[in-house]
Amino acid sequence: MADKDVVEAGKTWFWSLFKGRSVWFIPDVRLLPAILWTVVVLGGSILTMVLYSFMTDPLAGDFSITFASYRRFIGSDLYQSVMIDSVVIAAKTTVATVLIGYPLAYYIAVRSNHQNVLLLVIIAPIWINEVIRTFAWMLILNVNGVINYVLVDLIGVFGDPLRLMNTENAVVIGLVHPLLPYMIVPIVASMLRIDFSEVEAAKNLGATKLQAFYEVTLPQTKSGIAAGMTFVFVLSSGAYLAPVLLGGTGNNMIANFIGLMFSEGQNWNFGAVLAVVYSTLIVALFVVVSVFMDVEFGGATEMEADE
Amino acid sequence: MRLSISALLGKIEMSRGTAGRLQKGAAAAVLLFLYLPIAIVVLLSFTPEQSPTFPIPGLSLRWYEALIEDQAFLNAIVFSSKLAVVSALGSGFIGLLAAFGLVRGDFGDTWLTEDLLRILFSLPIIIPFIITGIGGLVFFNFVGIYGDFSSLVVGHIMITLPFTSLVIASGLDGLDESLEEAARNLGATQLRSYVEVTIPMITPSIIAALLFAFILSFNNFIQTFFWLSFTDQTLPVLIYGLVTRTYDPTLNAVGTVLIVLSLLITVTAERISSRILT
Amino acid sequence: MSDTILSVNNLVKRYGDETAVDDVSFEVTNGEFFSFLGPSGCGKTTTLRMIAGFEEPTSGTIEMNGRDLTGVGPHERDVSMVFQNFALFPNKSVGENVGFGLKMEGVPKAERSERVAEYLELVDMPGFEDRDPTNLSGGQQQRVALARALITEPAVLLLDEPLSSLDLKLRKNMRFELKRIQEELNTTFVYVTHDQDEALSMSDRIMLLNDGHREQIGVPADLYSHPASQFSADFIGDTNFFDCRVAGSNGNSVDVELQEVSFTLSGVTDTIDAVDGETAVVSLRPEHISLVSDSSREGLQGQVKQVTFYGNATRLLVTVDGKEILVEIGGGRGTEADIGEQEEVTLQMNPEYAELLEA
Repeated sequence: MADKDVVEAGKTWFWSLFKGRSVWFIPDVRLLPAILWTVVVLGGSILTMVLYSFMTDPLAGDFSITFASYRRFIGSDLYQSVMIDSVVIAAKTTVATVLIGYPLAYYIAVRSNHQNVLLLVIIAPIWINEVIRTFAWMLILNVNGVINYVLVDLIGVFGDPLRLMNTENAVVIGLVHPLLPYMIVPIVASMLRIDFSEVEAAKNLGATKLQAFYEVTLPQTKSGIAAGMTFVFVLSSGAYLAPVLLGGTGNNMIANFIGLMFSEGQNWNFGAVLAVVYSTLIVALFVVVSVFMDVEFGGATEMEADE
Repeated sequence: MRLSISALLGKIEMSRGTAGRLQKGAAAAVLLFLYLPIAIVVLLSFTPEQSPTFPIPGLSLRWYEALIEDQAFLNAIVFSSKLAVVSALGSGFIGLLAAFGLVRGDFGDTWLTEDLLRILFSLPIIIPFIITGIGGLVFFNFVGIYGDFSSLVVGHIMITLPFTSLVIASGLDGLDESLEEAARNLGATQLRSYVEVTIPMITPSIIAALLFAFILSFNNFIQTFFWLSFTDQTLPVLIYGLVTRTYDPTLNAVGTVLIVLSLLITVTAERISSRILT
Repeated sequence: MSDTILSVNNLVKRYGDETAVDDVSFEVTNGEFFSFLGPSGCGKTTTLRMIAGFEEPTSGTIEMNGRDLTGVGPHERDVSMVFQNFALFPNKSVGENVGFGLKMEGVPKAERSERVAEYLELVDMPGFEDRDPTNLSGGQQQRVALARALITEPAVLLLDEPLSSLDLKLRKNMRFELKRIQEELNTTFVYVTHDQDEALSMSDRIMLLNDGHREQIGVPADLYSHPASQFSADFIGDTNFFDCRVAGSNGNSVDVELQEVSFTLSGVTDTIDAVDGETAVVSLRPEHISLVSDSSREGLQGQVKQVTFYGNATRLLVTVDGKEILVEIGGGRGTEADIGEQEEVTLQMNPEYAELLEA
């Protein structure tokens, strides 16, 4: 009896893969593995981390509940200032990517005949290893690197080589570079939706090029800018490589400290606290800014969510 | 406030030619900025010198030779490849099923809408690496598989799943369901119609998804960094270790190889995907 | 009736709160060209898809040759379908497309090629076996889709607005082709369309659907000359509606008082069971109203508001007592066609062709 039933059940399950029958509250059984993976692994990771932030010494097996680490964080100027510095760097990166990325996005969307090729060219670097890319910036910003070679040896603008490494600006450059595509693509997408006969109408009514751009084009790209800023801000706030390799010990960001807690520091509890607090901070900032922008620009983010 | 910015801008007159040149110039500058580091790495990989200084006195392949002879590099390349292939295949399969569920599923009245599911599936990309990386670490430790190869596969599948599921889903989306219906109308069972019509038509999407998953897994640093045991290393982690110690010119060579590999895979995957869209 | 090949009984299809098909019943005779006609959203495609097996009815049955098709999968039904967008498999050649149904039946390759060639001949596309279907024109794809559907010699061929994506001239040609093929093979065709010209010109019988209900069923001439409701009268062809009151009946005909134009039309023969004093609606088609430019004659006096020339006919919009009446006069020659706007004219209505309908 048992064998036959099992075989039948197995067959039914197998064929259900093709029919797409629903299971429990999941509309389609084929979604199950993916849902399981995301919920269990991702959810499990986050849950474990949150739990560990309340446990004395999970690494050693001591799971007793404590708030000591949270109290420690609240009392710690060092870690709080690191967090704020990290947010500042993320903000600087975000602003820089907008300023640098917008002109290129404009060119691609409006002036170029080879949009697909250019978009591919811009996206391609994302697939190049991040360690190598950050390493490349080390070569460029170094005392003996390209920039100094050009400015000091070739052109002779400066007498002494510039010390660009181990500065906060180096970190920002190291973050802006890989994150530019994340800003450019959404802006291009929002620009492609614009009907440019509106710009011509504005010019027809007496606006200069710059005025037409400011009054007509720019506002319609706000949703794209918002999307890009979201990506860049969230991604740069958790940066690890750039602060370590380009910023030196004086410019480490919070991700480095958290990592330290889990490797050499051997303090999983405090590391978890830092991670939880920082993530909450970023999410809160993001929500506040979204709401603010929604109110200011009348549902730009909603428009983007409809897409 | 707004009016005065407009008024200010109105004072600036620009000829059409100037505007065009400004735009072109800005665009070119940014493109240069994007590819400068890549160009530098490739250039320096051919220097015969030990130090990465300019100008480059000549061209040499010595660092490529050094790379081929370096056992540590080779081991790391093999390990990364193994991990990437296994993860890509696993992620591809799960993503394929999920894509069918997303596109062909009958969502009816459930609270679990298709949009919600798409957001759920994209979460691993949206949530910061440090969370997924370290979270993964503690989770694997809790479950007891920390340091095992299986934990790496599980984690890499989670990281690449957003790409495979959504790429295949978009390929499937573009497929006209009436083609499958026509096949069934002519006597094919559901299974047969998948084999004869659907799968052949989404094969480009599947291949593109697998390529993306491979390169993502191969290149991954931050999460893998926290998940590795002490015995094996992936290539990016090895590179990181070297970069933080002393300067090793072989890094330029391996960097160039990675750059070429990545660009090849990306272009191939894009070509394949765009052929679906046309 | 052994001649009935398809029998649909009390078919209902609901999607959540919406009812797409509401208690529809009909029978199709073997060898017939049967059309579902109606505006978009009337449920005709949904009904067709239920016959094909792609949707399951909420209630009701579908029987083919006496066999109940409930629960039978699409691949097991003896129906073939021609899809609106042709649905040719792009990864297969024309020959492979046409032979697909035979391949599913397990017919060996040699015999398949023979029959594929035979059916490509039938649709006037010989030698196209190795072509890529995506490179064909709309009309050619249409024919391939037709051959593919017919080769399995189905009991019933279902066609879902197959001509709607073709341009006008091609559509008119294809109508002849389809009719020719249907008569040659004597296959039962069930044809869905929103185009009344198509339905009228091709069908043996038409079922008119409105908002999920069966509005009327019959031969084309009947639907045109004896519409059962205002919807039927208005959907097929053009007509003028007059609110009226039944004034009196004498034997086979009734007299009706047309309210808006204070005119009594006597001798309306086509009536619903009219009761004296009842309000109703009279439908009179433009071609059954004659027009003279002499305003001294008997009839309705009015003024021409608009003249539109259609090539083989001229239509005039005439205002009578504030009501606009559409009149059609044939040909481009003769004095009637020279009537211009603002002219005073007299209209004469032919009561023989007037229809009395429910209000």
